[in-house]
Amino acid sequence: MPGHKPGASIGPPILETVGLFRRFGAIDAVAGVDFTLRPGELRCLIGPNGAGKSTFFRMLTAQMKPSAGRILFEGHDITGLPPHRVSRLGIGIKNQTPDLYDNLSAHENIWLSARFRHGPRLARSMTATVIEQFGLTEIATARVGKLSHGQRQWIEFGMVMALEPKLILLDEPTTGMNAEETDRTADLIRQAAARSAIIVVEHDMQFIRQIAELVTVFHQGRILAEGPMEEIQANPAVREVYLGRSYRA
Amino acid sequence: MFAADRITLLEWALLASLAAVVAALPSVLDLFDTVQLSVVLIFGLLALSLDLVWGLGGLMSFGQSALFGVGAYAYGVLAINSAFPIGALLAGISAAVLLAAVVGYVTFYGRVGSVYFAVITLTVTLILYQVTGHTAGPEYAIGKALIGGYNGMTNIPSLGFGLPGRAGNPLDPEPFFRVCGWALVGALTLCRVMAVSHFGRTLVAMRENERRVELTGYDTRWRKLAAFALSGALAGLAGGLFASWGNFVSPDVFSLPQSARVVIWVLVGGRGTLYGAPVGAIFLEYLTTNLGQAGARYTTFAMGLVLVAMVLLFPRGLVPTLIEWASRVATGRHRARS
Repeated sequence: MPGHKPGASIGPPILETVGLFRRFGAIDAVAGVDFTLRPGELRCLIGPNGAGKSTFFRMLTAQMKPSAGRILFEGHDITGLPPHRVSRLGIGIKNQTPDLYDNLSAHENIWLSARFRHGPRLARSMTATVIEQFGLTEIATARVGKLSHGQRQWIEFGMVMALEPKLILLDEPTTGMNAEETDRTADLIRQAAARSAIIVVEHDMQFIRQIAELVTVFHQGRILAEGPMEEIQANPAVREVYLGRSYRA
Repeated sequence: MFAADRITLLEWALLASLAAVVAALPSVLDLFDTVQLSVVLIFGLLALSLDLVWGLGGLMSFGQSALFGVGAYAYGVLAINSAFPIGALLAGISAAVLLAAVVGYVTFYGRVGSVYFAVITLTVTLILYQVTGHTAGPEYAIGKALIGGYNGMTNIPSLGFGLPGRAGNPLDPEPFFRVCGWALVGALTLCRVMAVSHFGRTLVAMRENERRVELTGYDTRWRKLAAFALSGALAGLAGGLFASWGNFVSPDVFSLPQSARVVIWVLVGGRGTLYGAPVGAIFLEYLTTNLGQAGARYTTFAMGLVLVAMVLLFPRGLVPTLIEWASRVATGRHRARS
């Protein structure tokens, strides 16, 4: 299996949620999720619209507070920590719409991440490495506000990688990309998986087949199923709520 | 010329020549212009204090005139009582930093939005206007200094380099002009050095996208607080110099028109370059003074026309537009050559 590392699924979890709960009015967007991720794992979260993936993602990334339950990172309770503290522990976050510094150059965007972890010299060489790895050399001095959606996604991914996180959280990293760009993103994610644990929230089934090792299916705020992609595709309950519908369409 | 990550040799040369111009100007100007331009330079410093937080950090503050006024009143009270103007000037700076720190702490650590920051700073200014306005009468005195209500505080000693207890001679207009000018150039240099530092670049990133800065791991709260406190120091210094310049300060420094004026200087000069704000202040104040002298009875009306013209011709402000033209000319030439 590409990107699979020996020992990826043993050892204590890098990330764990215990009875995670989030209520909006009368709706339980996330209704008691117990989730476990092992170090080095590459996991995809899927589910139909409104399944609670995005809410779950926002709570993991400290952008929303859970109504109840706990989030543990490497055994430490990180529930309710402010976003900058969560990031400092080694969690790199990429939201659905790129959060970039629009009036600054691609180089400056990535440098600001690299410089957070490293001194001036290392930050400079690290920025150069990331720009090269993500194929951004030609647009390094361009104002990122003017770039295409795909380029912006990669710049943000590069900013996350420059932080050398232990865990990377990606929300729909291929939105707005064509097939070629999607392939390239899959490559980049597989490369990143060699160093970090990754959670990807995604809609695009084709893309998930490209990268997924293990898949977690959300439905109505709960985990419906979890397992390798083939198993998930064969699961009748999953076919009914998610794959079935999109297959029929 | 103005790089984002370093101060070029050319820019150092520019700053040095500005300092030299300040040194030379009083020997060229007549006394009246020297005195008039001194206060214009003080306003340039005040404008710079706003661009530091608004232009770099994206924090719209209506409270620069509050910081300025607090600096002026603190200078007045201490200079009258201590006969030690340098100490009074430092006290003015400290008072403004303290006010900025308190307001900044409440808003940034309370995580209120940026719109509320503008509202809160404006409110603080208007409260100070009311409070200082209602201090007429002999019972409102701090030591020998009468606050004076809406009439203001009078007989404030001019700046001089005496020691405590042995007040030196007050500065003549020429050296005072140089002090104001060098304070402005010095503050500009300090701000530019800060802007190209890791801290300054992070501040600019916060203006662009605060969430990404947080997701990167930077604590944005103390950074905003530090920037606002530094801005308070500059505004407080400007306030102290202002009280020394006119030997007078009144609640008008806290008034709505004065608060708006600082914002207009920065808008006209252009946000974010740090050079633009003082240019805007100097340009507009010089124009106002000269319109007044030329006997224009409708100075406000004329200024209004100037502002409309500025917004139409230089929507991003004077300095950013000029820099853009200059770089366009430079690249055009470059292309023609190659």
